[in-house]
This record gives sequence, C-alpha cells and structure tokens, in this order.
Amino acid sequence: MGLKDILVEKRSEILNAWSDMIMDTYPPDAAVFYKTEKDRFLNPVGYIVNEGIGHIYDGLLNGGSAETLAYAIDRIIRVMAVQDIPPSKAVSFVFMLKKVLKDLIGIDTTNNVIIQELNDLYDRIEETALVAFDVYMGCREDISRIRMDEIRQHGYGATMNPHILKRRRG
Amino acid sequence: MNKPEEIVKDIELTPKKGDWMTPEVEFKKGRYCYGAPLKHQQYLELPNPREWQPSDIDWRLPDNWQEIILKGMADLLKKNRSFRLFMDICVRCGACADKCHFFIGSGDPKNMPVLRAELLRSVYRRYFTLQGRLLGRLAGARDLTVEVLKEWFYYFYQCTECRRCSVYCPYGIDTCEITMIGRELLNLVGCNIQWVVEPASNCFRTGNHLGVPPHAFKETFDFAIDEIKDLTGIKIEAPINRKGAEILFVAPSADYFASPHWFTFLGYLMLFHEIGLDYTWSAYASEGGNFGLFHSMELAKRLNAKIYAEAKRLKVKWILGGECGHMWRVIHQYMDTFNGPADFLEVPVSPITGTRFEHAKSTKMVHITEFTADLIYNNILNLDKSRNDKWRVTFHDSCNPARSMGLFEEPRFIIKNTCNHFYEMPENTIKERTFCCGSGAGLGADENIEMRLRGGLPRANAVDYVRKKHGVNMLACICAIDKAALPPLLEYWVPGVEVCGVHELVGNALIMKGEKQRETNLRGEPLNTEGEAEEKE
Amino acid sequence: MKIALPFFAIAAIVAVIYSGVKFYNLQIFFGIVLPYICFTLAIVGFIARIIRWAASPVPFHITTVCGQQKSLPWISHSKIESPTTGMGVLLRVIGETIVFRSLFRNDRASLYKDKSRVIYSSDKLLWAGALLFHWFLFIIVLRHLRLFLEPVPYWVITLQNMDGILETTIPGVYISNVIVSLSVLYLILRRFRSRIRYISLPADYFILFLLGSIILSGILMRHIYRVDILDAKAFIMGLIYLKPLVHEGLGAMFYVHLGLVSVLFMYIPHSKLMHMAGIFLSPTRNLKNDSRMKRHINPWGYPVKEHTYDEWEEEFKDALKEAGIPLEGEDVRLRQ
Repeated sequence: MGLKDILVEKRSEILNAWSDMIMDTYPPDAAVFYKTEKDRFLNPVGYIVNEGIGHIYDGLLNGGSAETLAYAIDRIIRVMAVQDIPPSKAVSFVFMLKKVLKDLIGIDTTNNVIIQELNDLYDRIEETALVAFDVYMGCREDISRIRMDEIRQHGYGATMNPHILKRRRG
Repeated sequence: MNKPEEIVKDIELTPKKGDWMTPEVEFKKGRYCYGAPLKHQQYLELPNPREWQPSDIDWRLPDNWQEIILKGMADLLKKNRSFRLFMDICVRCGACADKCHFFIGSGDPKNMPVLRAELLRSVYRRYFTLQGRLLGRLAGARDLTVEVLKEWFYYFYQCTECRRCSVYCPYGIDTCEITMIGRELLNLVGCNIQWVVEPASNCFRTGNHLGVPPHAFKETFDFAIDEIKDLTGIKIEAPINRKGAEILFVAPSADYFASPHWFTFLGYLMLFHEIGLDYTWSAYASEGGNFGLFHSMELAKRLNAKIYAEAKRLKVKWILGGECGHMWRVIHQYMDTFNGPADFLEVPVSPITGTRFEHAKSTKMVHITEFTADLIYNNILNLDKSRNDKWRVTFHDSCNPARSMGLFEEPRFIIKNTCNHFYEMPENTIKERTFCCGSGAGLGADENIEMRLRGGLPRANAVDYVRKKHGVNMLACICAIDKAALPPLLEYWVPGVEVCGVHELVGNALIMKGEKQRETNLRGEPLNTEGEAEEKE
Repeated sequence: MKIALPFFAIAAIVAVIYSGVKFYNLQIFFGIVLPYICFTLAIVGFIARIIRWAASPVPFHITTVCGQQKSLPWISHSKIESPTTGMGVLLRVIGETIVFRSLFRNDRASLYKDKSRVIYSSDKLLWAGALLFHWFLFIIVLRHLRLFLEPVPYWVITLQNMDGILETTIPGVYISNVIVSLSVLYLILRRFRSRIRYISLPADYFILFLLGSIILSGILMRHIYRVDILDAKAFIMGLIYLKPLVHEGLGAMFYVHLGLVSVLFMYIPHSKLMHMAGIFLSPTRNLKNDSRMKRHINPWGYPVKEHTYDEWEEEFKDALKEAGIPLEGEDVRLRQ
C-alpha cells in the first residue's frame, strides 16, 4: 500500500484530528462550539475551516489545481485574519497537518518509497504554509484598504455620494 | 536549521484558561471604538466631559465614580422592570450562548449574551442582593473596580443591540436592554464613543448626523433632481419645509448623503413624483436615525422630539418614514412614549389608495415599505421588473424592523414585484432569526473594522451560500447602517455582491408617465443586460 | 471549586439533618420548627420579590417580535408571535410556560451530501430535557397533594395510578420519578460540559444538587427506608392545621427529605428559581406588538432639553435664505 492509499483511507480520521487541533487554539468554550455545531450557517467558522482543510488535503494529495488550493487557504486565513490571531499562529494551521500525520499513520520505516513520498508531502505542506502567509498578508491589506476607504469617504460608515464629496473637497 | 514546526512550537497555541470573574481587557487597535471628542460631549452637556481614549491607562474618572454608578444602578433598577427582572431570573441555561454574531465570529466567550449580562449582573449581586453581599465571589458577585468598568465598556460597545438572543431566551431576556443600561451607566461617568456622540451632537445641532447645514442639504436635493432628469427626462420636485403638505417624509440622512443609500433616495423621489404625493421634506427634522438610542434614553428622546415638533409646525396630517433600522425601533416602540401623544395628527390614510393604516393609528407614522406595498397591491404603480434583471436579489432582514416591528412581508412583496430574480437566504438566518450586519448600535466606526468583520461573518456566510447557489449579486435591505456596513463587509467576505435599498429597486422598475426610454439603472449602469442574467440560469 | 463547594454544602445539610434526627432526637426542630421558618420565609420572600419587580414600571414598549406584524389587511399576520390582542399575548406566554416555545426555536440546518438540499432539524435536547424535567416535577408535586388533602381528590388518585402504571416492583416505580431523575442528571451533566461550565455559577450547581438530593431522598424513602404513608400524612396534616405532633414511625430519611424541601423553599426567593414567576412579567414577551396603535405611557417620563425649531432657524437663518427654504411665518411654497 502506497502512502496515497493510506492517506485516502484515513482521510476522515486525519481531517477530524486536524480540525480539532485547529479549533483547540480557540478558548475552550468557543472550541466546543466550533467543533460540535454542525449547522454551516450557525457555525460559519467551523464550516469554513472544515471545508477548507478538506480541499487543502485533497489538493496536497492529488496535486489539485493551484486555484482551488489558494481559495481554500484564503477562506480559512480570511477568518483568522480578523480574529486577533497573529500571522505566525494563523499559518501554523497548515503545519498542524504534519503533526496529525505523524501521530496517525503508522509508517513502515523500512519502506523507503513511503518515506520518500512522505518527505515530498511534508515539502508540499511547507510550501502551502508559505502561500498561507502571503494570503494572510493579503487579507490584512484588504482590511486596511477597506478601512482607509472608509476614512477617506467618511460619512458615518457610509461611502459618501460623489456630490457631497466634491463639495467637501471644494 | 530551524524547521518551521520548531518555530511554531514557540507560539502560544493553547488558549488561556480561567473563569470570567477576573476582568481582563486589552484595548487593541481595530477592536474598539474611539472615545468621544470633548467638543461634542460639551455640546450635548454630557457628564464628566474630557478628552479621553479607551486605551488610556488612566480614564480620569470622577473621584466618586463608584458612587455615581451604584446610584445610577439603583435609579435604573427602580425605573426599569426589565433591568430588575433580567438581573434576577436568568438561569444560565446557555440557549443564547451561540446566538450572538460576535461570539460566532470571534469565539470570545464573553460575547456570549449570558456573559455580557453577567458582567453587569455580578455587580448587581454584589451591591443589591443579600447573597452577593454575604458570599461575594461564591455567589457570582464582583466588586465594582476600574477593571470591571473597562470590561463593561469593552463588551457593551461590542453588542449591536440586535436582539437576536432575546428571541431564543426562554424568559425573553433581552441583551439589548442590558447593553442600553450598561451604556447609560458608562455615560454617567463620561465614557462614550465618538461614533455615537458626534453624530448625535451634529444631529441635535443641525438636524442630521453629518452636521450638514440646510443649504448643503438643499443642494443635494438639486443634484438628485438633476440626476433624475438625466435618467428619465422628467423634472421632479422635492419640497422642503413646505407648510400645509399632507405628509411629512423623514428618512435617515445617509439616504441623501451616502452611497449606495443615494439610489434609494432617488427611488423615493421618483415614486413620490409619480403618484403625485402631497408631501414635504424637512431640513429641521432631516434625520430619521437616532444615535441617541445607542447612548441613553434621554438623548434618544431629545433627538426624536424634532419629528413631532416639525410635523406640528408644518401642519401635516401624518408622517411617512424612510428605510432605516434603528430609526424604526425608535418610531415603532419609543416615539409615541417619548414625545406623544400625536393628537395634532390624523390616522394615516394613503391619499392614493384610500387605505387606512390602522396599525399606526396612535403614532401616526407609516413605514415606506408598508406604504409602497399598499400601492403595488392596489395596482397603482406601473412596474417593469426586467429593468432589475441585472440583479439576482436576496433580502437581508435588518434587526430592528425584524425583531422590533415584525416587518417581514412588506419589503419582500415589493422586491417580488420589482425583480424577476429573488432568492431567500437560509431560513435560520432571516426574519426574526436574522443575523446582524455587525455594525449596528454605533459600532460602525472605521477604527472598529476588525470587530465588525468578525461580527458580520455569519451574515456574510449566508450571503456566500446564496451567491454560490443562485448567483446572487445584490443584497437588498431597509436599513441605513446596513447599507453603510454591508458593502465593506461583503467586499471582504463575499466579493461580487452589492448592496441596495428596496426603493432603489422600485425606482428602477417604476415606469413613470412621460419618461424617456431609460438607458441606465439608477446607478448609471447600462440597462440592457438580459443576456448576462440568462447565462446564469 | 464551583462544583465541589455546592456539593459539600448539600452533603453537610443532609448530614446535619440526618444525625440531628438519628442521634440527637431533634425531630421537633427539623420536622416542625425548620419547615415553619422556611415556609414563612419562602412565602414572604416570594411575595416581596414580586412586589419589588412590580414596583419597577415598564417605561417603554419593548416587545421582542417573532412574527409578521399586523399591518396591511392582505398580509397574513402572526397572531401569537406578534400578538396584538390580549388573547395573543396569553397564548404566547402560555406557549413559553408550558411548551418552552423559545427553547424550541433552536433550528439547525444541516447540509446533506447532496449539497443542494438543506434540511432543517432542531437541536431539541435542551428543550426536551428541560420540558420533561419541569413537567414531571410538576406531576410529582401534584401527586404529593394526597398527603396534604383530606379527602384525597379523585383526580390526584387517578394521576397517581397512571404514574404508577408500570407495576414492575412492589411498591411500584413511578414513571415521573424515573424521568425526573434522568432529566436532573442530564441537566447536571450538561453543566459539566465546557461551554456551559464556563457560564455556570456555584448557585447553578447548588440548585441542581439540591433538587437531586430531594428526589433521591424521596425515592429512597419509597423503596428502601420505608415510611408509613399514614404516619406521614398525619404528621403533615398536623403541620398544616398548626397542631404539629412528632410521629414515632417516621424515619430519619423522612426528615432529610422534609428538611431539604424546606431549604429549597427558603432559597427560592433569593435564587434564579424566581424565573417561575418572572416569565409572566417579562416585558419582551408579555407586551403586545401594538406600540403604533396605542400609546404606551412612561410613568417617569420627564421633559428634556430640546433644540427647538426657533433656535435652529435662528442659527441657520442665512443658510436657509440662501437655499430658498421657507422660514417660519413666510408660507412660501417651494414650487417654482
């Protein structure tokens, strides 16, 4: 059995553990909510994270399109970027997969093929984390841009209409 | 070489544990609103005025601040059954815990409504109940310290008074009431935010939140009239302060100063022209919104007084109100009590259809969607739905019209009659269970952007769902704060969905007598886009 | 700490009563004095609390509306969730008290594999647990009426017979006892869970432990430490008619049960158990949604400082003239 077969077989187990590990970085009372509330509308954070890591996992395994991968990372990081989570901690959700893999799959250390495959996978995880870092910075830029737009067109949260703006400037 | 995971090891991943009794607040940029400027505190004659920021270590409270707050609490307990009752009867069942959009989005346990109330309740127990005085912490009681006060400020300005939790509470405990009381108490020692006090002060002085004087107010009307002329070839009128008109129309000032509210404003003007309504705007009561509500009952009453006063002065028969959320909370549930009885007005009757608005017979003020729905139902309006075909529309119930009025079907009826493509968001995120935009109750400040984005996540997530499923690209709503807060929110979470008012859709669809062939919608975008909408089917 | 302390408090109460009766013959104190004191305090405290609530007015009309308002005649109006009549409010409050309407509202939408289908279900566990607990506790209280009334009304006997219909053991197991025990257990275990634990106070555990121990002592008394029912009744009737007499046949468990109930009653006015009365006074639920139809009066409303039209016109006179907006007095129509 190759590494990929193992990973496909243990997909849901690995994803669950990965998801739990991410949720455990929240205060315990929130973590319980994020883990147990299954309604995607009442628990958007849980939903987005679970959906996202599923895509990332499949992408890493099957070499899915860069776009899907980037989108999934973006969804998760976008949430973390407004949640008072510093970039280092936000990006760490990707590395958690490595820990989960180490814990969950019993690797036959004598099987050089699998070890090689695993190392390749670890490399891809690290690359993904670098992408996640870029995404995080992008999200923070989005936030500042949105905020700057508001300040520029200050009208109690509303974008001022062009006529008023003209008048104020003139 | 350090492997990435080794670096990660140094990062604190496990959250701090502890109980909520120990107050702990850190004012970080992006997560709190700035303090109110001295000038505006003074203009409104608020207590303990000073230049002040929540992030200051020393809040420069009056020496006897504890006494002031406790006296205030005793006073408010005497004056409000809701306060007294809600302090006593909560069983901490936790049904409300996951209903708050701020908790859902941030995971901060003190955003659970039950805990927001406990912040106040713990002090109530300590000073107003036997077991709290005797047992202290064991009975869940806390001393009123500066840290507790700071925590109050942090979390009472992290509640949008949306009342969603109160729908789920088995005893109807309303966190909005708790927050209002908390803010009243904070106000007693001079802790207010700029985003509430400045518009309130502007509104008190000039009549609107932006503090725009009457001539500038008039000018925006001239712009609107020109724009409508370009669009339809029709020159409409927009009377201001006209005595003897039948109806006074009051809208949130954002409608004529801000975008995308502006297009709703055009919609009102076109509609009123088309049906030949005998009405007037007022430059004195030029603000429907009432930021006093987010500060104290007294300030809310002071600002609200203008509407009836102006109706009386202009000798109108009744009042029509524009699309605004908290404005309608005040009008529906407070105005008559504050500044009534409106015995100088008549029971509203639509001059076009003859419908008597019996449900507004005491307050004498009708919501624009009630008025327009009645027009459409009586086939008064000539509507061309296809002019809104560019949009695949969903409707966001704004908290106040939803949970304080029960205004659900009127706006939906209008949308269905002005648009071909209307899709509801999931059932547990609309109507009385609607999610807040995250910027209500005065929290829409730009400096508070991160908190707003967190709070808006549940709403945005439901929008994302209908966008993916039905290709929704337009979110209609009937609240000025929504129209201001949702565009940036959606820009961050769900790019590609725009925000409009219901009367913008009316303005687009309305076929006016003698109008020229319309080439663009109210936003100036080309109308001929049938192809686009078809493609998505 | 939050949990251990209330637990030991209950244990201490039980130990004091048990040993007091068993070793020091304090039947008179625990069987007669304590109940009288506690019941007096309970009634006085309960009434005082209600008066205190009622003394605070409801200044504003703050209904939480959960359904379509009554507006245009052709829009169907939700008569209970947005009541405009006294009957509507009554039904709404009854809905809250007898079926816990609001707790039932916990809808969940779950997405099934077929992603286009959204299926709604309800998170009904808390609702079911709370409902069963309250209803069967109520049945138990009614069943106890046979100890307080002479002759025992027919319906009490019927209720008791129905409750004991599962005659698997002698004496028969009451269905209500089983259900109440299980639901209290559920409510206790629920408070051990992280999120609820965070919001819970010692008082929340105390009340559950207290109820649990009352139920447990009652069950023990019925099935293990048997108490002669006629003796118990004679004793209670004595208490009611203010001719208390200590009966020899009543064991320590009876006094433990009675003592715990007394403590519970004394505690009610100071505890969250006041929600049983508070729910009827809750302004978000017991007000109609008719605030635009009928003026709600604020008894302490006072005049506030306003910015009057005259002051405003004075301040902006020039601007108004510039804009051609008519001033007071000149009734110029704006029509050009």
